[in-house]
Amino acid sequence: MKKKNALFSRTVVAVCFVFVFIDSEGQTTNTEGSIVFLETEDFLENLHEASVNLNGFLEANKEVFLKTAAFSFGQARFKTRGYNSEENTISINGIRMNKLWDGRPQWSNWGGLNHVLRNQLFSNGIAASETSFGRLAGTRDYITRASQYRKGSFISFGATNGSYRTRMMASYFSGLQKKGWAIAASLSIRSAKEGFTEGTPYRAWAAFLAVEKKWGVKHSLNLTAFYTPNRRGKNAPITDEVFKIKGRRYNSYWGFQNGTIRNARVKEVAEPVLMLTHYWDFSKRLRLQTTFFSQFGKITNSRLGYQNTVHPDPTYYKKMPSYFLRNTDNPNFGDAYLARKELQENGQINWRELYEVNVNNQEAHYYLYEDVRKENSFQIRMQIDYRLNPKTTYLGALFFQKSKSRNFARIQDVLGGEGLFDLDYFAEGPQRQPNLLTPDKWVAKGAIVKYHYLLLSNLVSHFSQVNYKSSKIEGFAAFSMEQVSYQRIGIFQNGQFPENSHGTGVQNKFSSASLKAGLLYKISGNHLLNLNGGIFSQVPFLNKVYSNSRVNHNFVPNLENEKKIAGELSYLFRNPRINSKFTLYGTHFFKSIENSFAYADGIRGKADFVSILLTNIEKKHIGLEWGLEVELSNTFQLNMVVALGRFAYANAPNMYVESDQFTGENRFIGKSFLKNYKLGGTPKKAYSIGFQYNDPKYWWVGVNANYLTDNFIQISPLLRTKNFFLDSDGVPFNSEVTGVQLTNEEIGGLLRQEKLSAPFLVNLVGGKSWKWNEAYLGLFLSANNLFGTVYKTGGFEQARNANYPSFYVDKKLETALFGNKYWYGKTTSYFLILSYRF
Amino acid sequence: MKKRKMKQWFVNGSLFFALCACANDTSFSVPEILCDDNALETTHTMEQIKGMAGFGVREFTEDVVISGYVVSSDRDGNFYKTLMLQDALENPMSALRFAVDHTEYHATYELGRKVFVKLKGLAIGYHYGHLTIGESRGNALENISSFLMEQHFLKNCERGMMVPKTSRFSQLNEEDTGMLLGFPEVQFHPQELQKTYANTDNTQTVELKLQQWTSNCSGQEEIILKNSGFTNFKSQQIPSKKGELTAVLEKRYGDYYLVVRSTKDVFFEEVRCEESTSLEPTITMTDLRAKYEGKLLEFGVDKNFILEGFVISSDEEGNFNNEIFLQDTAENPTAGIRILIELENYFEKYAMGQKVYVKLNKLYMDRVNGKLTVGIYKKGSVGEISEGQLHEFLIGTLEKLDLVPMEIANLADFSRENVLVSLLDVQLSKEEKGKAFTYFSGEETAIRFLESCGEYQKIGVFTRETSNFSDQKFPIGNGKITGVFYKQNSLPIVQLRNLEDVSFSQEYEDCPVIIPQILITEIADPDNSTGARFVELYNAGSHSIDVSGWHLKKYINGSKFASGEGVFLNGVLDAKAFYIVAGAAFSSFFETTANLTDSYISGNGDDVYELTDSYGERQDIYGIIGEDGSGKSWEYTDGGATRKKTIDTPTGDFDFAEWEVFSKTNGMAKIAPQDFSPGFR
Repeated sequence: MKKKNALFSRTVVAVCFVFVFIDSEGQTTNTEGSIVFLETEDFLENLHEASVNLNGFLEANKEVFLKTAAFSFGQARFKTRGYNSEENTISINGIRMNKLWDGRPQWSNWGGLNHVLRNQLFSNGIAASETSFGRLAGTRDYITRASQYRKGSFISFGATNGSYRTRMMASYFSGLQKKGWAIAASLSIRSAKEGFTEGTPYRAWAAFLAVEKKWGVKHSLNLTAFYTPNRRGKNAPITDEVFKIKGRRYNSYWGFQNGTIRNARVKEVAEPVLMLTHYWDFSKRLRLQTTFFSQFGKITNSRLGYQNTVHPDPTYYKKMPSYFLRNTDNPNFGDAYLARKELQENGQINWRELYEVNVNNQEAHYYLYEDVRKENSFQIRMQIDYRLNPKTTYLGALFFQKSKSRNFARIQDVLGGEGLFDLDYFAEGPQRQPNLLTPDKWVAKGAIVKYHYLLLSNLVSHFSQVNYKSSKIEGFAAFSMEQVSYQRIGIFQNGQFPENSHGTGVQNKFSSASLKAGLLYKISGNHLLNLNGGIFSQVPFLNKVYSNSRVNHNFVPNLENEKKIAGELSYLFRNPRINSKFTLYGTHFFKSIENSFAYADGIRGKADFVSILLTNIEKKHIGLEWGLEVELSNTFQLNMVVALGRFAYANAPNMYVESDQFTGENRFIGKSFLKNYKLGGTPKKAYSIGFQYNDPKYWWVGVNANYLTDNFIQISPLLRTKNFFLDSDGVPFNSEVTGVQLTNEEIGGLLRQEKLSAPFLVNLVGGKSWKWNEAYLGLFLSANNLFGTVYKTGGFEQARNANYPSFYVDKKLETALFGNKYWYGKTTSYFLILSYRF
Repeated sequence: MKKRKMKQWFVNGSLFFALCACANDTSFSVPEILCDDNALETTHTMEQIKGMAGFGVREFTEDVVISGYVVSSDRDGNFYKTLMLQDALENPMSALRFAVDHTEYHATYELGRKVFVKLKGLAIGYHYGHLTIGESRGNALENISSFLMEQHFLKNCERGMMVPKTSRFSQLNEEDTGMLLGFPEVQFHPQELQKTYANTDNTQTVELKLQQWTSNCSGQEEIILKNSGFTNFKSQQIPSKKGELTAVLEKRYGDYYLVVRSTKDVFFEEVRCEESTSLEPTITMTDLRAKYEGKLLEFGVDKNFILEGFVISSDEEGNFNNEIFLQDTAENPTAGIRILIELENYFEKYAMGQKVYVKLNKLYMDRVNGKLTVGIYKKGSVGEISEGQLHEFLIGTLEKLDLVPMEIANLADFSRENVLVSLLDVQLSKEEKGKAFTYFSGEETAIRFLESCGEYQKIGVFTRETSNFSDQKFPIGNGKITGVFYKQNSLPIVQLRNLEDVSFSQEYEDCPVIIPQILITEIADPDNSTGARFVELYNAGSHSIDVSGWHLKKYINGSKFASGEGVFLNGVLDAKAFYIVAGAAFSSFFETTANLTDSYISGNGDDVYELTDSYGERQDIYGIIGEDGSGKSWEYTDGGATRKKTIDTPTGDFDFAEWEVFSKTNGMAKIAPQDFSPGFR
C-alpha cells in the first residue's frame, strides 16, 4: 500500500507541477503583457502526503488543455480563446487585483511569490467560481492564509536565460502553532544583467509576510503584507529590415555607458500590498469573510526625450538604409551603405554622445524622463458562503473599491545638462505649453513635466451565486452588478486644450449587470456533459473612457458598456487510463472600445500625432478545444491537445481621431472596415503532442512537439477607413497602377492582413528528486524550443502613412520605410532549478 | 533540530541580503566628457581653399586640413543643412560654406566652436553661385553625408564668443561672404513694417528690405534679409525700431543678402531714422505748376526737384481712389497738385494734413481733366506710380497739421487750383433735387450742380462711382461744402472726401428765379464798313447773368429760319454792363472792345436778330421774323438802331416804338465810329 501510494503520489506530483509562466513583454503597441504567467515550479511537494491543498491544486490544474496552453503554447503568446488578459480575474484573498486603469492584472505586483501563492481557487471560462463572478476567462484566487500553508522551509536556486538569469527563493511556514498563531514568510530575488534579448537588465525582489491568529474555532484574523518591486529594461519590436541586419536578440533601447548596460526604457513596478482578512466560521453552514485591502506605490516607465536635436533612436527611419534608397530615381547608395554599416557596427544608443551634446549646450537637448502612475487603492470586501441544504450553496460578495491615481511625467536624469524648458517644440505659440499656469518653465531632475492629472474612481460591486449539486446534475446560476464612477482632475492646464484640461472634469458613471448559468450533466461516471452560458455587461475601464487623459477631460464619444454573450459546451470522458475534454465555445462582443496613439500622415490631408479611438466594435470568437491524456502504462503518458479558433472583427466600428487639429465633430473619420479581419496577437490554431516517462526511481522526463499557426499581425484600423482612399475633397484617389480610380479589389489587396509564419516548437522537461532524512532535494530542468526556431510572436502595422498615396509609395519600395514591426519568440531557452525543502 | 533550522535560516538570510545589496543598478556614473583636443596641423588657410575652386566641382585628393569657428546655427530654422565656418573668432579674414546632410547640427557643432576640417575626400564647387564645399557625387556637388561628419569635422576644445565684424552695406565684398557681420544703424524699410519674418500660412522663403543709415540719419543704404519659411520665429512681427543687426553674409550669383541665426541677432531698440528728416524742398508748388507749358513735362533725373506738400484728399470713402492731392500749406494755400498712385487705402499711410515730400526725379507732369497731375510716364501722358515704387517718390513725414479750408463766398475771383476750399451758402440746384451723388445704381461718376441763391455761378460736385456714398441721396439743405477744388473746362468743381464734407445747417432755399433782363440795345451797320457791324446787348437787371449758352441768331432776308446756330455767348454779363458781339473789323474802328467777334454779325439792314437764352427761349428780338426788313420801318441799312433809354425789359415781340432807327434809305446813314455808341446808352 505504501509503495503504491508513493508511486501514485510521485506520478501525480510529476504530472501536476507544470506551470512555467513566462514573462511576456510589449505585445500590444502601448501596453504590456497580454498573457503573463507566473513562474513557478512546484514539484517538490511532499511526496508522501496528499494534502487537501494538493488536491485543491490538482483539481484546479490537472486539465491537460490548460497545462499545455500555459506551458507549451505560452511561449508563442497563445491566448486561450483569443481573450485579452483583462478577461482573467485574479484575486488575492478574494480581493480583485485587476487594475481599474485597463482592467488587467499587473503580474509584477506578486512576482517572485511562487512559494506562497500555491493555494489557489481556480475556475475556467464562464464556469462557476468560488470567489467572484469573473469575466470570460475564469477566475484565480490566491489564498495567503498563514495557517493553511504546510509547515516547512524551502530554498531554491534557479538559473535561466529568460527575462532574468538567476533566481533565489527562501520561505518559511510555521503551520498552525499552539495558541493559534501561524506565520508564513518568503523572500526572493531575481536578477539579470541582461535577459534573453540584449540590453534588458532585470532586477526584482519580493518580500512576503502573513500572520494569522485564530480565536477558537470561529474567528481568525490574517494579516498579509507583501512588496515585490520589479525593475526591467524593455525591448523594441523591430522591422524585417532591422532583423536582417541585427538578428533576433537586437534591442534598440539600450547602449553602454562607462561599460554598463543602460536601457532607456525601464519599467518599474513597486506597489506594496497590505491586507487584513477576518474569517468568521459562524456555523457549519455559514462562513463570512471580510477583507480590508490597501495598495499604494508607483508604476513608472522611462524613455528618452529629445528636443531641437537628432532623434536618439538608432533605428529611427531616417537612419535606416531604406531611407536613403527611397528615391527610386536617384537612390543614394553611398549613404545607404554607411547607414547599414553604422547599424551593424554600433546600432545602440550612444550615451556618451548624448551627454556631450548636453554639456556643450545651455539647454539640455536630451533627457531621460519617466511616465509615473502613483495609485492609492482601497477595497473592503465581504463574502458569505452559506449552505442552504446539503445540495445547495449560496455564495455572495459585496465590495467597495476607491482609487486615486496621480499621473505625471518626471525628469529622471538631465544627462549632463543643466536643465531645459518644458515645452512641446512640435507646436507653436501658446500651444507649446504643457502647463499654461507656469509657462516656459525651466526644469531639471525631479521636476514634473508634460502632464499632470488625477483620476478618481469609486466602484461598488455585488455578486451572488447559487450552486446545486446532486448525483446526476450540477448546476449554478450567478448574477453580478457593478457601478463605477470616474472623474479626472487636471493639475496642468494644457496649451492645446486650455478650456478643457484644468480642474475637475465631469464625472461619468457606469452601471452594469451580468448573468451566467451552467449545467453539468453526469451521463455516467465516465461521461459528463457541461453547458455554460452568460450575458455580460462590462463597465469601461479608465483607458477606454478618456480619449487622451494626459491632455484633456474628453470622453471617448458614444461611451457604452461592453457587452458579451458567451457560451461553451463541453464533453468530458474519463476512465482510469484516459482523460479527455472536448469543448465548443463561442463569444460575441458588442460595443467594445479600442484606444491607441500614432503619428499619422494623411488624415484628411494633414499630418499629426493623434489618439485613435474605435467604438462600437463587434468581435466574434468561436472555436474548439480538445485535450486528451492517456496513461499508456504505469510509466508512460501521452498528451494531445488541439485548439482551433476563429477570432475576428464582426462589423465596421466607428473611428475617431483626436488631437488639437481634430476636435469635436471633426473627430469622426468614418467607419473602419474591419469586418472579417482577424484579431492579431495570438495563433488561432495550435496542436500539441507529448510524451512523458515517470521512472519509479523518482526521475522523469517529458518531451512535446507543438505547431502553432494562423497568427496574424494587428492591423491599423486607420488604414481601413474612407480616409485611406478618398482625398480631402472626398474624391477617390487614382490608382498608381491602373491610372484610374481605385477599386475595392485593389484596396483589399494592398491592405491584406499579414499572416506570420507558423513555428514548430519542441520542448523538453525533466527532473529528479532525492530524499534524505526529513528533507527533499530536487532538480528540475525545462528547455523550450529545442531546435532554436526563430519565429515572430506578433506584430503590428505602422499607422504612419494614413492614406493611399503615401502608403503606396512606401509599399512600392523594395524595403519600406514604415514596414510592419514584429516581436520574436525566444529561440532555445532553459530553466534549471535546484530546490531544497526541509 | 532547532539549532540546525536556525543556522539554516541565518545562512539563507545573509545570503539574501548580500545579493540584494549588489544588484542595485539604478544610478549611473556620468561619463567624463573630456573634449578631444584634436590639435591637428592646419595645412591651408581658408583663402587658399577658396582659391582652389575652379570650373565645376573640384575634389580634394590630398591631406588638406583647415580650421575655423562655427558661424551659423540651424536651431531656429535658417541655415538648414548649411554650415558656415570663419577662420577666427574676431576680425576674420575669410569664411567657408559647407553643405552638410546633417540636421540639428547646432547641437553638436555649437556656435563659436573651433572645428578642424579634413578636406580630403570632399569637393569644392558652386551652389547657386555660392562657393560651397560638399561631397562630389557624379560631378554634382552634394551634401556631406551625415555618417561622414565625424570623420571630416573634428571638434576642438576651444569655444568662444564670436565678435561680429562691424561693416556697412556698401562696404561688403566677396571676402565677407560666410562671415558673421555686425551692422549698426539698421532698420527695416518702411514698406516692410507690420510684416512677420516669414509667411505664417506657407513655407516660402521671404525677402525683407533693410536700411542702414549714417549716424545722423542723413543717408541710407539697402540690402535684403532672407528668412526661411521653416523658421520657428516666422510668425513673429519684425521690430519697427532701429538698431544693431548681426547676420551672416551670403551671396546668390551676383546678389548679396543677409541671414540671421535667430531673433536674438536683431537688436533694434533705437528710434528710427525717417527719410523725411533728411529732405528739404527745392521747389515751390507755384513754381512747379508754372513749369507746365501745355504739354507733358519731364522732370528728368538730375534736377532733384523735391516738393513739400500737405495731403488734402483721402481715399477712405473711395472718392479719391488712386489720386492724392497736395497743397503747399495747411492754411491759406496758394496752389496744389495731384499725384496718381497705385496704392489702396493710401489714407492709412498718407493721412489728411500730413506733410509729405515728393521726389520728382523720373516723374512727369501733365494737365489731365483740368488738373495738373504728376505721375510716371504712360502712353504720352501720366500714369499711376506703382505701390512698390511709391516709397521712392512720395515720402511721408511725422508732421501733421490741421487743414483749414479756404472759405469762399464768391468763386468768380477764385483761381487757385487743387486746394482745399469751403463754399458757403450753397445748396443743390433745383433740378438736381432728389438725385444721388452719382446714381442710385452707384455705377458711374457724376457731377451734381450746386447753386448759391443770387449767384449765377454754378459749381459742380464730382463724385466717383467707387465712393462709398455714390449711391446715396445728395442732402437737401443749405450750408457749407468742403472739398478739393479745381476747374474742369472752366466749370468749378469740388470733390468731397467724405459725407462730413457736406455741412448743410440751414434749410433749403427756394432761390428766387432771376429773370434776366438782357436786351438788345444797339444794332449797327456802318455805312463805311461791313466788317465793323455789331450788336450791343445790355443787362438792365441788377444781377449778373451767366450768358454762357445764350445765342444771338439772325434771320436774313425775311427767312423764317435762323441762319445756323447763331453766335454762342459766353461769360458773365454783370448788371448794367454791355455785351458786344461784332464783326472782325470792329476793333479797327472802335475803341471799345467787343466781347465776341464773329463774322456771323452781318445784318445789313433787313435782317432780324434774335437773342435766346441757354434753354433756347427767346429773350429779345429785333425785327420781324419772316419779314424782309427792306422798306420796312425797322430797316437799318447802312445805319443802325438804338433802343430808347426808357426801355429796360426785353420783349419777345418786336415793338418798333421802342427803337430809334436810322438808315441810308431814310437819308440817315451812320458812320463808324462817331455815329455809334457801343458800350454806352
